[in-house]
Amino acid sequence: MLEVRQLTKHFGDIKALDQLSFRAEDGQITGILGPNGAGKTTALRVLYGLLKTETGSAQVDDIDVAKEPLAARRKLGVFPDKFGLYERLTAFEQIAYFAGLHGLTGNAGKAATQAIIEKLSLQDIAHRRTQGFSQGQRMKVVLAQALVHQPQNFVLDEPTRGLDVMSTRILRQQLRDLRDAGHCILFSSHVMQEVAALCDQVIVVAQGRVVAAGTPEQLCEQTGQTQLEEAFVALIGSDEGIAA
Amino acid sequence: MNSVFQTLLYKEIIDAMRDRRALMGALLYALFGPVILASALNFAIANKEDDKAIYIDIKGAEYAPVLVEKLAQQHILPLGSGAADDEERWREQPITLEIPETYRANIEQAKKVSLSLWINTAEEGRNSANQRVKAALQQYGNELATYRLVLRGIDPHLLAPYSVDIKDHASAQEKSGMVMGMLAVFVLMSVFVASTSIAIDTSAGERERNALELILIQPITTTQLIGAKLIAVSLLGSLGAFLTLCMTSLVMGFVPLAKMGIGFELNALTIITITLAMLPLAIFAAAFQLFCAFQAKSFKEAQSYISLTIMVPLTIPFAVQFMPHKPDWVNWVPVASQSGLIESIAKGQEIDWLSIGTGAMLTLLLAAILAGWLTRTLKSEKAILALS
Repeated sequence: MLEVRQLTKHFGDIKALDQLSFRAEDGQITGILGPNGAGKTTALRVLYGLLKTETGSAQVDDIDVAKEPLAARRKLGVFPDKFGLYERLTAFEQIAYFAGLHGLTGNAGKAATQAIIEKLSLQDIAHRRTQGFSQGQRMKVVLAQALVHQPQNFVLDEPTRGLDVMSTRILRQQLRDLRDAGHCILFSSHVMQEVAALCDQVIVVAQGRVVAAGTPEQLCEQTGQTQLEEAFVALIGSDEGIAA
Repeated sequence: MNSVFQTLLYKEIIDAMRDRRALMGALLYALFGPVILASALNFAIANKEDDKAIYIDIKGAEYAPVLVEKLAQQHILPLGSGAADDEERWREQPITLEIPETYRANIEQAKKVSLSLWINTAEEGRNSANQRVKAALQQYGNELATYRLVLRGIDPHLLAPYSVDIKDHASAQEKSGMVMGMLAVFVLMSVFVASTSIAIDTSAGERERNALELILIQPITTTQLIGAKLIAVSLLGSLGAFLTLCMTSLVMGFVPLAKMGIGFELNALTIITITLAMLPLAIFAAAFQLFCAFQAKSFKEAQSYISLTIMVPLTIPFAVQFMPHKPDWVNWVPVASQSGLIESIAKGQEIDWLSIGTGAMLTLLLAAILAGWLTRTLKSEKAILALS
């Protein structure tokens, strides 16, 4: 479970977060949809414990992130928007490195790494250096390193940006499997189709505020629109910064 | 050491050791320094050989055949008397001796003769030749004076109330001062040069490749992260110093240092001692370079900052050399302290362990301050916002 309450944050004169609150439940895929600059990345960075806010708090499974950032991060798996792989490490070493950072070293680390490699069918590239990997292969390695410690909560920041169709399909299937296994999945996106295709819950963010939250159907109802796209436009007030 | 720190350290070291470009750079430098040193010494030795002929232009040689003969006995020959190959380097702007027409008459009447010697003191390579010509002229002048005194029935010793016999108690090893000074600079430089590539790669490079943010949101502390990077980078710096010392030991075998009266030996024990003494400096260099690279906004900017850090091992010993009075604290300054130690070890002088120890502590303290400051910076909002 992931929750932020009443987050307010300024960067200079700019209000990045304005009393932002939302909750992502276990066993659900929750999407944060908002235009570029709406405060999605800032909110996630607060959730990771990288940024401090002026008001409010963030919680990962009842752990206050500001008070115990390391404990909170142990329960998080993060899939970043840009895949920064260590090109001189093999895929196996890269995944084992992240396992080690979560305390899985020695045989436990090897076993966890081997298990996720098999689960994501990475065996054929596991012992190759990641330099020269295709975008799809990179995505799988990043996914494996985020899930190697079997986190209860999984956060994705703009996950399908720059991915090809096959990689996107694999990723979506993984997310559905994790949801069905009872994990909490939160992902931020500015791509409407993606949110509509995957999410059980949608949180619409604009100018640092939650402007609406609910299932896709509820959002349509709330705005009196039949199409999800029209509902978003009605909620945000413009279609600027949103990709169809 | 906890398991997370071990993981971080292991990855940093593996990553550094597989960075072929960085390793080649460190290796090349380790090779380059000693080879330059050896060839400079070889050149100096070749120039120093006293019995080698010097060719000078003698104007009016016909007025003073005895003087010319006396110079020839000292291997100072008139241009045009030797092989063209040997004379070549003396032909351009030659050392010129002008003998006046009145030479013979004045010598016979024991009158003063004015000789002119044209030399160029700005030309460093000719300094020893200039000295030899001056000394040869002086020697023949003294000889003439002695004859004149004897002819007048005067004991020539009256002109020399005492004689000074200079005895140099510097050992052959101590005379190697210049070599040691150069070696010290090369070793100090190697600590900084060997670690630059990896310092940039693991800091600004990691940030530019979008790997840093993901690491910062793992359950690790910034202190652990910086600590691991610091150790990996300083390992490479120490490796650079070690390789430079090994190469020096090897290459110096080919230089006939004994001809210069220099005794030089770099044995395994000395190499190990110097390498160990370089450890605090390597940690300082790593902290300084990581600090500079993390402050930079981009990889390129980091490269230009870091190339400035290489000036540190050059400027500090240089500044110390030119200090008129060396206060005690100078020996504690990072870089100066280590430079002094290398010279003492290599010259076989007694080592002032107190000031070396103080120097090492001070070096480590400065490194710790830099690392602490860097850790704080990396946690700051500004650093986080610069991540993307």
